[in-house]
Amino acid sequence: MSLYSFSPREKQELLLATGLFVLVEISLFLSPLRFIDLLISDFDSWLSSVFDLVILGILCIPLFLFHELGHKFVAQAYHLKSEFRFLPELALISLISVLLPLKIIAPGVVLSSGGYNGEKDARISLAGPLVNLILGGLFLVLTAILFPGWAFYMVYVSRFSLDMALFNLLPFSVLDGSKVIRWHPGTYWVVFGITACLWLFHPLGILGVVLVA
Amino acid sequence: MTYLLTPQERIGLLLFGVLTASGIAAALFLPLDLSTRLFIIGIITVIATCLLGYSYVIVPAKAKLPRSSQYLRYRSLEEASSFQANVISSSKMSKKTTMGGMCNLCGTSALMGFTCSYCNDYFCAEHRLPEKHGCRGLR
Repeated sequence: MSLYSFSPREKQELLLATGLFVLVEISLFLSPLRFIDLLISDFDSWLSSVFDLVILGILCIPLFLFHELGHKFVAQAYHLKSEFRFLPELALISLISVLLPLKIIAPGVVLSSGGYNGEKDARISLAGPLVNLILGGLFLVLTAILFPGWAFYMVYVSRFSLDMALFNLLPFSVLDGSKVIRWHPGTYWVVFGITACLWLFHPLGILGVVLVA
Repeated sequence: MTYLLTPQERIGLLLFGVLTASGIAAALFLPLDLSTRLFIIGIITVIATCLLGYSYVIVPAKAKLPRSSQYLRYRSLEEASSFQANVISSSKMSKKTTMGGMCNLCGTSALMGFTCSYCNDYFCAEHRLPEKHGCRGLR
């Protein structure tokens, strides 16, 4: 089995889930008041707002896509059969959350089968959040390089990436963090601690004011 | 039983922790402008995470962890049974029986589980045999 093999069904479902993810991320900028404001605003500001949302939507695509591909490619490097699957029930909850203040993003999951054990499972799970950390750092670098012009988009996408990394590293339920902490708690706490620090001190984070000051 | 990190994993984890923490501290405490601070944090995060990913994910994948399927390829039923008999003896298993814990493979809590003699990990009755949990001690 090739490292980069995809089934036609998987490609379709990955595309659908990515679209849903982008929709939920964009909805973060569209509160009901903002939406009404957008409807009654003049054409130029409407066009500018739509342009912002389209750019942010396009930049958000790799956050979800590369996270899932990270899991998949590592699983296939371990000779496991691995495919992304769209979960209709969770996707429906994600779709409903577009209209709610609390966002839930869980359109699908990478399923692996073959010679599976706790160690492989943890390494495969760790790959997703690490991809988001790399993307978070990369978008921070782009924020610095493109400052002040495109920095607005880059800093938000960097923030979304760190949100994804931290959320997936929580040690609960089926999240990636629970598998890593079960395998090696030391590794988990180092990765989680650093991700939490980056999340807190991000320019848009709770303690971001310390960095910006 | 907790997995023991290999030397390259220890170095990767140490570099990740030290580099990123130093990057955050430098960006917070050095008198720099905002874009330089963001650049420092960003570039150090990318480099440190790549190092961690390389040591934790890419190196072990290249080393090819054993596939449990390779222990399940038998040419005949006789070979299968003989293989199973050679892998582990019941006397060895009974000595290693432990009370309470969580199966290292499926994660279910097993009151009367087994510690594998080859990899020293804890498993439920279903996954106790090396070929059932893709034993890394059989390499």
